Amino acid sequence: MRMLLRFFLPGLFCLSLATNAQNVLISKSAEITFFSEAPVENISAKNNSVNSILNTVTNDIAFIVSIRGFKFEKELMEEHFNEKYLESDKYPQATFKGKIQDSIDWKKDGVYPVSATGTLSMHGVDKTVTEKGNIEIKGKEAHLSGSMTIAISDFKISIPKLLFQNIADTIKVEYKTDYIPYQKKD
Amino acid sequence: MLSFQLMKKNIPAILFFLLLSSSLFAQDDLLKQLQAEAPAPKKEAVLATFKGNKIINVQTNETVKKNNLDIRINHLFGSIGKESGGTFHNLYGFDQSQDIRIGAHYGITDRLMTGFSRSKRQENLELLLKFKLLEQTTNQKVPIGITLYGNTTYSTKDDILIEKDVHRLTYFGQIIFTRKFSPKFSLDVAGGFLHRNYVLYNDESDVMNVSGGFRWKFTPSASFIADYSHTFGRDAFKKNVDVYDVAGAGIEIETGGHVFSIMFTNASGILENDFMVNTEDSWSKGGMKFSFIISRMFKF
Repeated sequence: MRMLLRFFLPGLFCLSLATNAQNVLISKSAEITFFSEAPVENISAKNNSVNSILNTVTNDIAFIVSIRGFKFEKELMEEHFNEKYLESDKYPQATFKGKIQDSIDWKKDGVYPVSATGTLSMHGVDKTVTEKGNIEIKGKEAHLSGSMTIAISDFKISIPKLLFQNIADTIKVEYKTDYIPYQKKD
Repeated sequence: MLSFQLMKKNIPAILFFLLLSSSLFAQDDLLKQLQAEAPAPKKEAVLATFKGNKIINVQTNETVKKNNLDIRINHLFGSIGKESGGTFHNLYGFDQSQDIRIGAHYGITDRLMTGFSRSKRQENLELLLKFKLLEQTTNQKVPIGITLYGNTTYSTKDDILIEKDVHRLTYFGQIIFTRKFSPKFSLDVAGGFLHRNYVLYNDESDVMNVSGGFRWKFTPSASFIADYSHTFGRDAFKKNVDVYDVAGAGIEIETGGHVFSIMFTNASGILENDFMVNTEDSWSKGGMKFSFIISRMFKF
């Protein structure tokens, strides 16, 4: 028993750490775009300041999105987006942490429709969401893509109706992420 | 021995807790791991310290972004108070247009802006240049913004006193320090220098000026703005002519592509080259005037 305590437990602990690193995928490149269709003008923005991580054992997944990373066609829109709607001074990041609900054979190449449930945090509001997407596995790499619709009122983003008829109540968000095996930085 | 016995009994429990805790914290750990892994936030310039090139009378750090054209129409009405000429007859200055400035500001780069304008009062054509020397950053490594501003005006006045064309010119230069303390509050302090090629008897061609102002955003779309400008010297001139410091206060309302500024100021003109030295109206004598700006941004 003493042997077990002395060698087995620390060994197990080390082993779990080691597998942990091996089963983690991290985004190599990720992109989020959003599109809002409205009577006066359509608004779209693209963000490449997106980071994601994925654990293929626990199926946990996380995203960090820099709000300032959203680039608009018009600078004034970008300023409004940051200053008035998302208040990026106060809330510089949006995050998602959740779990992929489907069981996936990460060792087998193919395209898997997946859904993930978790907490989307944005503009100081946490909301539990379930979103669908597709995972494509190719060797040691994976590609995740999909789209979701966000009601801006869910995140306490208020737009005075009289003044801002050019912004829709819901926005369509598209995301795509390329994952590669995680290598700890030296 | 007793403790070992206890341990032995509890091994399944210890294992269970180890596993539980690892699964419980896995999600948080993943996000933390990602947070650590993600590249450090880029050095980003603070946005929207102010909403326009000026607070009311005082220049801000703001320039028009690259390839954007800002058409600005600034209207300064007549004095409101009776002592300064405001009456029911002219609806307290509403019928008068003390000064009108129509300007076009264009962003050459995100930090360099040029502009051209016409102002009614001194019949000035204005050419301006503004450069963001240093931008305050969101990570506060650069805590303030430093901006340089300069302009030249050429008066098209038909005035018998103007003997040479060179007399029509004035030059103004300013260094502007700004800091956005919070999303709601921004402060501005500026030092300026004005040279006029032609001045009246006893007046000084070169004058120094210090000015400052702030913006307090009380709703996401509306701000309270105020500023003050003091010009030094000219003691000999001031013995015969009453000239005053310039103060302004107002509200800024922002909609999609427009900013409306509704302001009150005792400034006698819109350009620095004019109001810094020629403001003969004072708040105490009812010399405040209603003023507004409409700005429309075009992107190329």
